[in-house]
Amino acid sequence: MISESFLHLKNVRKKFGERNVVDDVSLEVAAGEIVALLGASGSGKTTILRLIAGLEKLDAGEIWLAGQCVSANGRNLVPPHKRKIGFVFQDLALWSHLTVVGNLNFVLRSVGVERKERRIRSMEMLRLMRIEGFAESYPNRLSGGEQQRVALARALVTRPQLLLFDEPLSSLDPELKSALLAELKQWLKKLEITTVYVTHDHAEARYLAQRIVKLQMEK
Amino acid sequence: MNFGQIIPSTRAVALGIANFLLIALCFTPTLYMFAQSFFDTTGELSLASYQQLISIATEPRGRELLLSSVALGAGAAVLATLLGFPLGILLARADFPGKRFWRVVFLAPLVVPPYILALAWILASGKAGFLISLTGIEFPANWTYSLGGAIVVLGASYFPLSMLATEAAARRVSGRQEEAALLYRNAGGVLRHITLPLVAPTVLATALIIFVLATVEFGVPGLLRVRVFTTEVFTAFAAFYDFSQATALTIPLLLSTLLAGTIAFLLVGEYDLTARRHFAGRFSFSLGWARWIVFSILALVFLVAVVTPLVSLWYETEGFSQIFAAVGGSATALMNSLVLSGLGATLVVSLAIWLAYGRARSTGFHRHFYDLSLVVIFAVPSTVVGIGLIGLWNRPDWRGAVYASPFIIVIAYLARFVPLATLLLVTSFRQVPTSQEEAAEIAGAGWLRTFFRIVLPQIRQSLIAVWIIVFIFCFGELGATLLVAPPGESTLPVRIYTLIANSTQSEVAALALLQASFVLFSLVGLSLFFRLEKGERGQ
Repeated sequence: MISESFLHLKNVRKKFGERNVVDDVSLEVAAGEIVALLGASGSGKTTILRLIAGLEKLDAGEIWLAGQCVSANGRNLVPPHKRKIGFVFQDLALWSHLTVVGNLNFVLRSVGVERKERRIRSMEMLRLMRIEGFAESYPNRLSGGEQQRVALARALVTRPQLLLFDEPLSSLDPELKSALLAELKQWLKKLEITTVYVTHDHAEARYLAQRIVKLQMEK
Repeated sequence: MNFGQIIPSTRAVALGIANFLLIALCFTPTLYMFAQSFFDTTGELSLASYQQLISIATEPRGRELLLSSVALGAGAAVLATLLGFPLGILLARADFPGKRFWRVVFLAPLVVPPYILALAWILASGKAGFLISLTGIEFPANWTYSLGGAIVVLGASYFPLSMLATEAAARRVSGRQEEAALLYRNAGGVLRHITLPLVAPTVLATALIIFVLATVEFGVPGLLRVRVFTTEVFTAFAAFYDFSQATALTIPLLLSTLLAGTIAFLLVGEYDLTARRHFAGRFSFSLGWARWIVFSILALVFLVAVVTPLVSLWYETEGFSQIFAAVGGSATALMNSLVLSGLGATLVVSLAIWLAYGRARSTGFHRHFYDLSLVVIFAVPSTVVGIGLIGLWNRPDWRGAVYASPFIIVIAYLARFVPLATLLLVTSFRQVPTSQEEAAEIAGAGWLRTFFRIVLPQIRQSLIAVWIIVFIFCFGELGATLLVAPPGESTLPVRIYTLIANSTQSEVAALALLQASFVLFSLVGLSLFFRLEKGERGQ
């Protein structure tokens, strides 16, 4: 059976030990749609993103991405690096031994972009994020907001087919958060990439997403 | 006048006394040796030691000495890294069963004193040795009595250091950083491009530390008759009582220790020495069918580095009766070792807790120099510490009475192992938030009460673990003890070392096996203790 949605989770289950973290979750996301997954801590939001990315193996159910079944029967049928996904982690996970442009070059090289082209695309993306001045800096030398931009640039630079955000703004102060949120909304609108955005903040979800999916904690 | 401002706090007094003792016990022997290098034998200010050093360096004999010392250090560091680095990565990132078992058994070569392993290899590959009787293959005669033999023994002794450091560094790499890379590369690519570059500084720094430890090691080259700086220092002092030459030969060792320690510290800095940051590390690569290859490699390393030396010692003992006879003949040395090591470990940890606490709570830039000085002092050759202690304590005043008593051996343990215990404990103190002390202070508790009732109970596990580690090190200490032990107050390592030339192989093997067994039982005890503690905490 081929799914018509761009991203389709069918009756997905995931247990950690005895605890059902994701219990029979189904979700459909259309191409270009921005969906916010909203829920309290421990409701399984992050695990769903990790299952979509292939960083966890599901226990039951199926995950379809761009018409292809990527996870089923407790197995990852397509490994994470073949899913064409951009992921912005909660702690950003910037590679501390690589410079800002090094972080972007690494992912571009991984998807087979030529050396010359890599530099052009990296700088283009850094300009878009307004951090081109930090190209040769190491991530730990940057402020929180600048690091967020680097993480986003790294996720976007390969032109992924799906963007996953795991509460990327949760550690920022309210002013910086609202400023970045506004910019993020513009970028997502411009790039038209299918996006799943995880948050526990209602206002953030309402502002950014076209549709909100609420996750309930298991009783 | 506000006396509150000029009377130092209890905390300042306690930490001040601890640091005074650190300098008096651990730094003065080395500083004394360094100061002596500027005086001649008559006590006049002179650069004779340095002139002697230059003449040694320009002679072919001196160049040979330098070359073999460097080759021993570099060879052992390369071999230990070649073995330890892949094992550390496998333990941190691969999925195979029995990791705890492998981690504990591979610690054995590190805790068994290197000269015991050297002795075991001499016996194993001797003409009537265990290896020849087992395989029927004639090994090259006396291969152990060579620079290559010393490199193999020290490389096999120190590879667990590289393994542990690599594993710890890989565990400190954020799992998220690796997962982020998994979206673009397969597991092998992630390992190559993310994990390995992040652990490389630690691996290099550990290789440097192994280089220093092998260069300053006395027991193995002494036993295998390889002429290096440490053996020459010992010979110059113990055989010829040429203090000037001993001092001159000490200088390159001190300089190389300082240089390598500084480079290692710059490579890893505070991050590795006193920080313990474990990130969510979910990334691991699946070995699949290759786990059988890995298992075979682990088993081979285990056989060569752990089983062969122990079996060869057992093979030479000629049974339990010989062991009991050897124990009977060396009961005093064994008892001395147990009592002095126990006392030494207790005093070392007692002093280290204050120093480690002070270091954990310090924030100034000086803390980096503090760590570096501890690393360097720990790496000072045992023979240099021994000669320094003789120079300081063999005096006609009250110090002479201490020098003539077994307590001088405990002072040698303190001089050698307080820096190590301090570095090990700093990580634990850093886990106790300062806010807990502040809460106790607000509640009206004095600093000493807070320290004993709030801080120390939380690091009880580390205190016991560090005590066992220090006990193991004290129990195996040879270089300094050999020099300072009063007549008739031998310890087990000294007894073994002196019996090698004067007794039967079976007696020496029995005592060496006894020494190794005590150390290995301590290691098993440590492992069980950690397991029980983990169980109690429900992890």
